[in-house]
Amino acid sequence: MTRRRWRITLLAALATLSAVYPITSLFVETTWLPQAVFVIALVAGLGLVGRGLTRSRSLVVLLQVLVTAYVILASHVGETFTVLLPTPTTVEAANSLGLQALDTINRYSAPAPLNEGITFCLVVAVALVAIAVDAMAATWRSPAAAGLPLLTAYLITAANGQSALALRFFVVPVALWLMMLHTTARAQFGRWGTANAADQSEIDEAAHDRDALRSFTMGALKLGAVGVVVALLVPAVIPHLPPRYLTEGLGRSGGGAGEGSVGFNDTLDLSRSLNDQDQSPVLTYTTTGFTRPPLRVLATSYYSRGQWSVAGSTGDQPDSGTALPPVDPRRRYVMSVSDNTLAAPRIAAPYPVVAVGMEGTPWSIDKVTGDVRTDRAVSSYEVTYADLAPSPPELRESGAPDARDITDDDLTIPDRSRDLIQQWSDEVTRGQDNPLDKAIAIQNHLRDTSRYTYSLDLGEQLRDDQGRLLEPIQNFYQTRRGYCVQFATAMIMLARSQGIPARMAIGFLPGQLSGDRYVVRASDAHAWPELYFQGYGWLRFEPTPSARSGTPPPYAVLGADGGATGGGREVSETNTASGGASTASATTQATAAPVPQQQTFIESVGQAFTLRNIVLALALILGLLAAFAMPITAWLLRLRRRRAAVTQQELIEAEWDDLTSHFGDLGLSAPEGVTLRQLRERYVTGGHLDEENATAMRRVTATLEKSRYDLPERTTAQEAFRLHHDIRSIRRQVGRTRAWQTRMRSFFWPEAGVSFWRSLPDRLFPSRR
Amino acid sequence: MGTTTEDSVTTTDTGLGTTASPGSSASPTKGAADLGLIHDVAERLMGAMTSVIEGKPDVVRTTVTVLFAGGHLLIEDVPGVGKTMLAKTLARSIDATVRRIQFTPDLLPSDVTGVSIFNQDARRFEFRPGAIFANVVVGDEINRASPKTQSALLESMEERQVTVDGTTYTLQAPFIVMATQNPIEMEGTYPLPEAQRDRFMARISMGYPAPSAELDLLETHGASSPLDALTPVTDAETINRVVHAVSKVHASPAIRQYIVDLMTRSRSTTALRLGASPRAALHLLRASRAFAALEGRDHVIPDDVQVLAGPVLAHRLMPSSETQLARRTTAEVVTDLLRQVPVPPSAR
Repeated sequence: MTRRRWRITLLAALATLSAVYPITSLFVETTWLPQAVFVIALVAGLGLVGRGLTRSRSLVVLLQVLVTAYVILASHVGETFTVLLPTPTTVEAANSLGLQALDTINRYSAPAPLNEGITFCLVVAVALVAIAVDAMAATWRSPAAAGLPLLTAYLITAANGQSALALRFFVVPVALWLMMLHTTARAQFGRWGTANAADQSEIDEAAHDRDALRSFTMGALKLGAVGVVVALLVPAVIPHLPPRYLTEGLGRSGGGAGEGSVGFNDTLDLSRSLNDQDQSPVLTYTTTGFTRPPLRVLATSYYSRGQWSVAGSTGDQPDSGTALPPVDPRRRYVMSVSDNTLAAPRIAAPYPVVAVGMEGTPWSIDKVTGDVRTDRAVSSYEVTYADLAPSPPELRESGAPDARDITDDDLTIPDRSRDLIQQWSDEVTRGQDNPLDKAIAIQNHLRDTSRYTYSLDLGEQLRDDQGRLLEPIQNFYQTRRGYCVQFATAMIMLARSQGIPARMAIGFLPGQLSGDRYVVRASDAHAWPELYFQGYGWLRFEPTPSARSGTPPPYAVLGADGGATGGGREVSETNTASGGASTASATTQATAAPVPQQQTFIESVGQAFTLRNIVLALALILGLLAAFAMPITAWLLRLRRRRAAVTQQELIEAEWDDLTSHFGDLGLSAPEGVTLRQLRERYVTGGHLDEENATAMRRVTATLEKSRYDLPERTTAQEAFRLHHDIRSIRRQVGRTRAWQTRMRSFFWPEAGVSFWRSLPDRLFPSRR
Repeated sequence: MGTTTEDSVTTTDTGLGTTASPGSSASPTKGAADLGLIHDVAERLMGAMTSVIEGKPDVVRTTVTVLFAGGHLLIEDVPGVGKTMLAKTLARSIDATVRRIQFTPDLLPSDVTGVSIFNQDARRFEFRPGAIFANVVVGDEINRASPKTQSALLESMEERQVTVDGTTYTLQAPFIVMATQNPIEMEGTYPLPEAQRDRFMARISMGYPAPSAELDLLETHGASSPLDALTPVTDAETINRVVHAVSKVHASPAIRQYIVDLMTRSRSTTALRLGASPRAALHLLRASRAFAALEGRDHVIPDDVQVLAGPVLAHRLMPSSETQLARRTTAEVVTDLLRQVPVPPSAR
């Protein structure tokens, strides 16, 4: 038994580790991993020790939670401890770490930088998963349930990751989980077998049990193996399940490496599905910026028949500054690109580019779109770019756009969809009165995953009444699924119908860290809308939901749908008033842009975690616990006694004491010098037992008498079992004959629980006696 | 008047010193009480006794219990309720040697134990066994004998042997002394001292019969004594086996604890001047075993102990002056004890 316990604990710890390990791909550094491993080991060790010390399962979990919480708090916010004990300041410090993590998660897409808040939250999450898995698998011995926390941990990565989750990340935890199931099932089934064999002491039965055990185990094993194989095979065989979840991660396949340069299509067909994903690297880079905007390759305003295409624009004006607003030099960053395989004349660079350095190769910046072009392909270059950081209040006051840069194309809406788009955008932007709030409303509307589904597979194209293919935007409106191109197009069209000039930008997501450089792969290709704001130029928005998308720029972040009701504005204004303080405290990371809305949102979440609310919640929980303290105590004592019972006699005595104590609560006392038979008569008459239950009572006392006074080996398990049922039936009937007040009192104030607390001082301080 | 009436019903196997040791008698099942045998013998004995002693099933039951437990019985009641009849009935129901001793103040110890007489022809002392040399000894009016004679009887009761002139003679088994005494007639009596009362396993009192039983009694006993029609239903050897079988009845640790608890409480209670002796505990356990066997159980339960606590304990206890002043009997004190002492296992 002990060895099994060891094994199941070890398996649980390994399964937890393997399930949380993929999280390493979500963050740029892995320094949190040793801490997580330590916490998992700590939980496993505590579980082992706890289960050795006490039979109360809840106590074991409590021990794990308390000690783990203490260790985590001590290691992260230990400086707030007073005399090795947490203080209210500790809660605040932990809270601020959580807020920091929330901020980081809101701000960055994977892989996000690692800071103390993220580490703290990760370790807490790992600890929770570890405790849950250990409790279910080892403490409660039902590892089947432990699959849920494991799956949760796995899904954290799967749902947030950018790249494909390798198959092993799924297979290893599942294999460990199945091993836990197997270990426990064997142990439990083995117990049945021996119990039966001992009771009936018939060799046939015992042999039969062993056979049954073997066939059951084999059957379960086969079933489990088949289940995993099917889980792996079915998605691979079925063609129409868009993201092949198990084998491809979030729809990105690992295959199809391409050599040489990567061409970039100048047209984007909205009706084309994006099933073919190329993992080959396009370029690698380093940047001096803290945030990493997407790398833009080109922008276009020309949309026709469901396709975006680049107009034959020629911007032969080298070194022209373009129509940019003046940018604070402190918000200029340099990106050094190498291993560039992007075919000329395109260059990937964050927008807006201020200067380009590529060792003598001629280059130009398109005056209208801001694209950088070169005459020939270069493998490495440096780009100086600006971080546009207009503040939302300024943007709101920017006024109507009337720059020369804006062409008719920037406001064109396809005729076939005009009515639909107008109606759709009016609906989305209702109540908003300035371009920024409208844009944010549109963006948030599209990012709402409860309305729209991100999918690389667009499915069948819909047809209208006449059987013609629907215009892609209408198609998107109907199917509500698509990838970045559909979302970006929808945002552009919706913005245009509101009079905001908008165009399509095409490029790459910022890529992932590999070593000390970021690697951008072909599969990072992305499209996003740019909206024109008078005086600020083209500003990026991010309407594509899901992880397969960029981070919205700071000015475009507003608390969820709150912006649509106009509440966002008020909040942001009050925040601007105190802007200085909140920005100063904001972060060391917040770089260029103070982010008023984001702060507000976070603070509003943070307000829910004030000390007062926490204390209130704790008080509520404590109050509930106090109200049910006695029943819970009685229940725990009963449980402990029943579990501590080794022989049938002890089990029977426990049941009987339970009954007498319950009858005592109901007013049927058991005087000291009364024998079982006398007590039985007392219960039969006093409890108004009917004939059936009186017989049951006689059976109970006969069994008890036998167990107490006859030879111990004569009491059989069947008798103990029947006693259990008889007692339950008797309890029910006697309960019915009592007044409800008595029953309530017997429930809330059971003597079994009360006496425990009453005798506690004596047991704690035996010397006082 | 040193009258020693001899009421020898049968004379089978009265050889001196022959002992059928309980251990040697074959027990049908090793380690477990032979409930079938006990039940069978008890049925026949009680059937026979009930045909004579009518309307007193409890008294009959206790008598048989004491017989099976290998103890001695003290029957105490007013004259004429059938004390001697009870003793004689039991004696007759068993095919064994029976003697009856009528105790009088001038009865000598040698009348009870026996005496060595010089045989002129053989030129040596010969031992002539006294009345005690029998399986069943009925001692009538035991409190009328002098303390010296009483003690001669009581010593042999406990040790089951008699020592005369330096020679030890073992008494036969089974050996049961049924003594009667009259509690009311105090003139010219020597009440048994506590130490001697302690040797009786149980004391019972007959009590008056119920009116209907008395009516029946007048009818049946009017013509001839039903005792005459009584024939033995069992023999000494069987009783030996029964006694041995009873000793195998299981008494769990809880039961032994209960008995010890009762004894301890009797020694500490203020209602008593003298509590129960360890011998009382032993007797109570043995009697409980026999009673359980009579009930058809092979294990003792607290109810057995409670039923027998009164008969087994009451005559050994000495009431304190407060109890006497309150005119409470020791039997009532025992009832109180039973009410106070928790039945194990109750301590958690």
